[in-house]
Amino acid sequence: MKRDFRKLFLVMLAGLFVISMAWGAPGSFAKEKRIKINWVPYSIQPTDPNGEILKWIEEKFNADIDVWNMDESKFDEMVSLRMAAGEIPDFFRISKVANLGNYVNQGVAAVIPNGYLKKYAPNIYKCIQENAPGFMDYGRINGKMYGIPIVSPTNIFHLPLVYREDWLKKVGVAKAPETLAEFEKLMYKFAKEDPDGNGKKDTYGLSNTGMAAVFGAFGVPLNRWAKDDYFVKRGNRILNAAVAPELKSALALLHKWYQDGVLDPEFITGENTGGYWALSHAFINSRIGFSCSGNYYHWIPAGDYSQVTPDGKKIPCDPGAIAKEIGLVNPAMKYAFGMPLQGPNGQRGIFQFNRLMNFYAFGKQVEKDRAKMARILQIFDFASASPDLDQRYRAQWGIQGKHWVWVDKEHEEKNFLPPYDKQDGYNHRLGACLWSDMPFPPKQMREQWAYQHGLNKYGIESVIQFSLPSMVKYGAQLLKMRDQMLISIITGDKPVEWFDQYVKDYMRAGGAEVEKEVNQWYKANHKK
Amino acid sequence: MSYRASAVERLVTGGIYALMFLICVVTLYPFLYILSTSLASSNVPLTQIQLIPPEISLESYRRVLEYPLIGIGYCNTIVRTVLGTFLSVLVTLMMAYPLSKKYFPHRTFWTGLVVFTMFFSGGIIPNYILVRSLGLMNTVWALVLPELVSAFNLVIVRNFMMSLPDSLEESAKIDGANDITILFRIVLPICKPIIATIALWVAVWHWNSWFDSLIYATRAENQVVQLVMRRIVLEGSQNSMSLSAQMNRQNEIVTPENLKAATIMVTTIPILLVYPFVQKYFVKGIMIGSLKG
Repeated sequence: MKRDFRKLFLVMLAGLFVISMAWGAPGSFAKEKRIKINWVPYSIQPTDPNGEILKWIEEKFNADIDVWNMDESKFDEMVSLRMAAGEIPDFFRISKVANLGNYVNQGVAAVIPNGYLKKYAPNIYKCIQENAPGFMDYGRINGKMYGIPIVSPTNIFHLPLVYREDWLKKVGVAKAPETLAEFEKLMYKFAKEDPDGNGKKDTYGLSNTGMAAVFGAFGVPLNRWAKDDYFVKRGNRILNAAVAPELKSALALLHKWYQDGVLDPEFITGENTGGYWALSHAFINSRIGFSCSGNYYHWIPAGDYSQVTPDGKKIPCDPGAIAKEIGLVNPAMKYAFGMPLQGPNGQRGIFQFNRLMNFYAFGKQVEKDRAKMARILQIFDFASASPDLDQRYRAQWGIQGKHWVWVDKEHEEKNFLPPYDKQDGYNHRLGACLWSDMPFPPKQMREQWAYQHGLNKYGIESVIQFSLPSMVKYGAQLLKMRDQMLISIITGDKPVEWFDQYVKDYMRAGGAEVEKEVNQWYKANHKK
Repeated sequence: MSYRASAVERLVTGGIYALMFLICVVTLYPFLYILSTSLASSNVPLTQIQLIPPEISLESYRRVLEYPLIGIGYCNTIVRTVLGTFLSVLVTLMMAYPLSKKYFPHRTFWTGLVVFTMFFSGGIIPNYILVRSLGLMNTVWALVLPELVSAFNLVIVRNFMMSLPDSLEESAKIDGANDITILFRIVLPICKPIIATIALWVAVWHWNSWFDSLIYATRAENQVVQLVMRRIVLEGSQNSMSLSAQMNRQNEIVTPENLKAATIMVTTIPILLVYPFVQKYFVKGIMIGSLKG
């Protein structure tokens, strides 16, 4: 007990020392007027107004920051509620990309003057220009900049293609398929040649998620459980992936597989039957031999790369969620990763999630208060993209040595210190939440693993990741039509030729309006 | 009673029993599933469901109870439930009593005014502005006052009171009791079943509510336990692709799924324990309240 107190005292003393050091340093903002800022960040945990990182940033930038915590599950609704009641924050996150347009129409979002981002948030500007060229345009409406686009650093990796390696051996195939033709042959073998060796016909080639590999081979980024619109470019025309002409051939093939018992008839309800979303029950329980479920990091086998402990020891990494489940259910199971398939046109591809995640925007009142806008941008730039890694990580994760420690700074690997290692979002409580993800090339060991497995190659990205008003208006309806069509044609409820009729219906139900708006937007924003 | 059920009647009864049993299973299954998940250790696979987990561990519960905001959330929930239920029942009772009296002036108008609120309400934004202007943000009153009197409960209590004989009041008046005495000394004891019923409804409503806390409590120390639970349960399940925002858990002894299940159990069990104690009033209460119109 006594020792605990002494330790606590020492830690507090150290903390005070660090804080006083930071305070003592004359900041460049000390001479300017202290500014009050209302800030709505991404929050998993409510922020303590006296959180030590919040205090540190407030002193550093000579500002009083009032952090509004919006529950993540109702984020935009809560922000809108406060705005409707007349409380407009100075700087706020927009969790759904589609809502930027709404805020602009309601007149609550401020215009960010030309050159402001480059001048006051140079690191963010540079990072986005270098790593996600063209994404700045998504923040522009009618030629004016309203939103700072938040681009995911890790959605550069496409869906994983995972095969049962033990089944491959069993049916006499040496390695994972490279082309769609090879893939088809393998799927038939998985379904027909009893790869699990139990003498019963109870296996299938693929199910719900695996279809993404087939769509991808035809150049269509489709994925049945992705709820956004995806767009492809065909000549000079941008069109929705849901009406891409290649889709018809893909569906004809899938329908054939369905009839031949190669595509799991349970694909309609999916591979996951509850619990953690990424798990593929069908794959784990040896029903299917191929899956694109979850994300690459769910599949990483235990010990596939090394982790470093704070005392410098190298230990094998923990398994990803799916890998762990396989280890518990069927430790003998082996699986292998494949590359996106080469389709009939000679091109490879597979679905990749949108990289555009959110926006950050300014409240209308900041439009006139240029000094405030500049200060906010400087804080956001410092916390999100400061080139000084120690400072950036302090703004994001708290104090080194107290909340976390470097274990491999070169790869930006850190470990959380107890008790914070068991407290999700502790950093948000400290106020280390005034930042956002930036599309820096990922350096962590886990992402190195993804690079090594080629997950950054051949992904097909939607050419438009922004939601225009017509998409908001018709999106839900069109999505329903798309999903119904997929099931109807694959199960043979409707003939493949019906696809042409579906395209006509789809266009009439709003698809045409979406396409027109999308093409206009693309022409206006992509001059080249 | 010399009554013998015919074959058809027995068949119907059997059918009803079978149906009720099926409904019981359907409602119990998710609960048992969560219970089983919460007790399972991290070595139990999630894709194979078992009623009794092969390896039982209380680690998830320990972790949930160690979670910093659960304790504060619990206190807030208990305070709002106790205070809210007490005030709700008291005010509903005091409002229902005069409305049940035939000689109360403009009774139909006042009753109509209350019933009106069952169909029309101001909506969420005016409510928010009202609560904020009254200075109730981040106080327990923001959670208690807006829903103090539920029109539905009020009508039920009023109908129950209308079934009491007028002579009861007259005889008490002759003995020299005033209206307040009559309400608390004579009417209240008779109304026990209906009070227990609405008290349970209000208590359960308070216990389960989270949306008002989400709107009116902007600081962590004012939020209720259901909100804390929601945060844990929804975390990571929203298919969030932003990786650096999630923590990379290392060497975990509990999985997030176990933790979520344990959180649900911890927040649900206390209110479930209330049911057996009020059940005997409960059945009686609704029946009596509903018979008279």
